[in-house]
Amino acid sequence: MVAAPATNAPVHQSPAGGATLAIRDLHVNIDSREIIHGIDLTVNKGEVHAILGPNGSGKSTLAYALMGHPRYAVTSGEVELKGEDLLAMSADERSRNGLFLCFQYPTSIPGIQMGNFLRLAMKARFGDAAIKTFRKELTEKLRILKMDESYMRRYLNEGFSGGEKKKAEILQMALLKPEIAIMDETDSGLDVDAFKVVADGVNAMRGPDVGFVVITHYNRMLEYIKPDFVHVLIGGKIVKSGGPELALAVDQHGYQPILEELREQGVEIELMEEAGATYAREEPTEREHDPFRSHGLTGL
Amino acid sequence: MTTLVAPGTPTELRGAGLNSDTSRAIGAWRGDPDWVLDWRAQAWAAWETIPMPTPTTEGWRRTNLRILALDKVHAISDAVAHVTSRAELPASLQKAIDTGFDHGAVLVQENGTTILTEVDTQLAGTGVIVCDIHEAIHRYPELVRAHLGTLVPPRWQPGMPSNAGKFEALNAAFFNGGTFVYVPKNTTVALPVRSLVYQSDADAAFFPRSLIIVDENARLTYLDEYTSVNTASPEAPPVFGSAVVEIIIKDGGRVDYTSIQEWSLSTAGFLTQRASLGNNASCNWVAVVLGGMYTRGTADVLLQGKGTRADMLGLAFGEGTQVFDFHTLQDHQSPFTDSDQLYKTAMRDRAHLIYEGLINIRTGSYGSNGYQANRNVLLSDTAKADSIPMLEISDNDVLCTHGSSVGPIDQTHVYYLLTRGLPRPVAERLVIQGFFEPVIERIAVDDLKERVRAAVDRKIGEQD
Repeated sequence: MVAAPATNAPVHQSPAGGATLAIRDLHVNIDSREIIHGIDLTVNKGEVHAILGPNGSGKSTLAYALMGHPRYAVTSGEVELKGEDLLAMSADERSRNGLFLCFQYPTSIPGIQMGNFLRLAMKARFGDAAIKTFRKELTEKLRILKMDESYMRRYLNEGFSGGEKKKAEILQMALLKPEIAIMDETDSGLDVDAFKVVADGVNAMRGPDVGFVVITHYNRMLEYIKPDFVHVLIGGKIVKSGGPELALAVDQHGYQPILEELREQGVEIELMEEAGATYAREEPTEREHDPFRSHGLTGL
Repeated sequence: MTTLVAPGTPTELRGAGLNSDTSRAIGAWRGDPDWVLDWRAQAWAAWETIPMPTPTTEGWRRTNLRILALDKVHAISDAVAHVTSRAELPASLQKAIDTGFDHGAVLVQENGTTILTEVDTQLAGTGVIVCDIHEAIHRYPELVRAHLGTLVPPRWQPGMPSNAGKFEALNAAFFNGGTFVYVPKNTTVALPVRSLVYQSDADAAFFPRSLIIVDENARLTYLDEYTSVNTASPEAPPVFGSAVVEIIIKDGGRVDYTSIQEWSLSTAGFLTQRASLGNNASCNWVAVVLGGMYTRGTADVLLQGKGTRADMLGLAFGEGTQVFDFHTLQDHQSPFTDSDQLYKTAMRDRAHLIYEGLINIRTGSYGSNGYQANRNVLLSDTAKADSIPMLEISDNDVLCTHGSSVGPIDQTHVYYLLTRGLPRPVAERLVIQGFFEPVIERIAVDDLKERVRAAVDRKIGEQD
C-alpha cells in the first residue's frame, strides 16, 4: 500500500503552471434545487482521487456538472482546467480540452458504428493526424481490454452487456488520453472478470500524464485502483479527506462514524431527502438516472 | 444504340404548353403507334376531367399546389444530343454514374432523351432488355402493350385506391423518356441496372415513364435516380414534372428497387411508383427522397399473388422550406401476403413532412401480415410532420400493426457524443445518420447502401 498522508486534509502540491483541475466552492442545482453545497477539490496529473459517498450524496451530480450536462446548473463557484475557465466551455470543448467522464450508465445509440464514432472522436480531439495512427492504437487498446475487433462494427453500446459498456468507456478514455478522467461508479454492475479487465485498463493508463477522479461507493474498486487521496462526499459536501486509510475505514465502519464525528464538531450536514432514503437502497435504475428522459428535455 | 426518331423535331414544339395539340405532337414526333396515340389522348381527357386537387380534396388536405405554374411550363425540351461514351457526358452526370461500383446496365436520360445506354454484353446475351421506353414500344410492341399502364393507367380506374391520378394522367399524355427493363424467366441480373433521369432544362417539364417487367422466378436489382437543375432565378416558377414507374413482378420473381430523388430545391415534382407482385414474388423497395421544394411521392405495392412479400423502406431529409408529401399503399389482395414498411424522416428549418400510409387487407387476404411504421425527427421548432397511418382490414386471421412518431432529436444521444469531443453539428449529424441507418441496413445490395449513405451524408452535411 502507498504510504498514507499524515493528515486528514492532504495539501495538494500544484505544479508551477497551476493545478490541472481546480474546483473552488462549487454549488450545483438540479431543477432549482441545490444538490452540491460548495465543493473544493484540486486534482493534478499523476494523482488518483477517490470520492466515496452514499447514494444520493451528489457524487454523480458533481461528475455531470463538471462534464457540462445541461440539466446541472452551476450556481456559484469556479472550476479551472489547466488554468482555463471550465464552466465557460461547452461539453464538447471540455472533452477536447482533456476532460473525460466515464459514465455510470453509458448511452446506447443505435445506428452509429463504434468504429466510425471512435474515429470522429479522435479526429475531434487530436485533429486529422490522429486518423493515421488510429488503427494501430485501437488494436493495442482492444487487446488490453480483451475486446474483439468486431466491436467496431457494432452500434455504439447497443445491446452491450453491462461489462461491455464499461469496457467501451475505458476504451474511449484510453484512446482520447484525457488529462483529467472522472470515473463515475465504473465498478457498478460488473462481474469479477469484467471488473478486473476494467481495472487493468485503468491501471495501464495511470501515469504522470493523467489525473483520475474515481467515484465509487465500494472499496472494491479502490483495491485495484489504488488512490492517492480519498474524499468522502455526503450531503453535497466533501466532509472528510485523507489517504487510502480513509477508504478502508469507510469500508469497515460505513459513513456513520464520520457523521457522528462531524456532529460532535458541531458541523451541520444537510442530508438530502433522497440521500437519507437511499442509504440502504440498491443501485438506482437506469431510468432514474437518465437525466434527459426523466425531465423531458427536448428541442435544440 | 440509338432511339428511333420519327420526322419532326422537338425544336418545333419548343415553348408549347400543356395542351392536347402538344400531347399529340409529342406522340407524332416519337412515332407512337396508334394505340399509344390513343392512350395519350385518353390520358389528356383524364387530365382535363379530373378536378385539380384542392386543400379540401381527400389525400390533398395538407398540400399546396399553388406553387405550380402549369400555364408557364413548356411541355417538352429540345432534344439532347446522344453521346457514345461516358467521357462525353457533362461532368456532373459522369460523376453521378461513376460511383465506384459495377452495374449491369445504365441509361442516362436528359430532358426526356436517352443520351447514353450501356448494357453489359453478357447481360444482353441472357435476353435481358434494358432500353429507352420509346425504343421498346417500337422493338417490343407486344411486351410493352401488354404491360404499359396496367399499374398506373392513363385514366385512373374507378375504385382504384390511392389518389385521383391527375398528375399520373398528365404523365401519360406527355410521357417522354423513361426506361424499359425486361428480365426473362429464371434469369438473375446480378449487377444493378441503373437509370439516371436528369432535367437540365428548367423551363420544360419532365415526364419520364419507366416500365420494369421481371418474369417468373427472375431477379433484378434496380437503382432509379432523379436529379434536376435549379431555376435561373429564385422568382422563376419551379421546375416541374411528373414521373411514373411501373414494376411488374411475376410469380416467384424478386426485385430490389432503390430510388434516390435528388431534385434541385427549386423543383416541384410528382413521383408515382407502383409495383405488383405475383404468387410468391417479393420486393425490397427503398425510396430515398432528399431533393425538391415540393415532392409528391406515391409508393404503392399491390400484393396480388399468394405468399408475396414486400419490404417498403423510406428515408427523407428536409431543410429550408422543402415539403415532402408521401402517400403509400400496402394493398393485400391475396392470402398469406406480408408487407413491412418503415419510413424515417428528419426535417430541419421549416421543412414539412406529410405521410399518409394505408395498409389495406382485402377480403380473401387471410393469413396476411401488414406492418407500418413512420418515424419522424424534427430538428427545429419550425419543422413540421403530419403522420397519418391507416389500416383497413376486411378479412380475419391477419396481423397488422402500425405506428408513427414525431419528436425532436434525442438529446441524450447528442450529449453523449459531445462529451467525447464531437462538436455539436457533427454530433447531431451522426445521430441523424444513426437514425436512418436501420433503413439503409435493409437495402439488399451493399453497393447501394454505400450509394445511399453517400447521398444522405452529402445532404445532411450541406449546411455545415
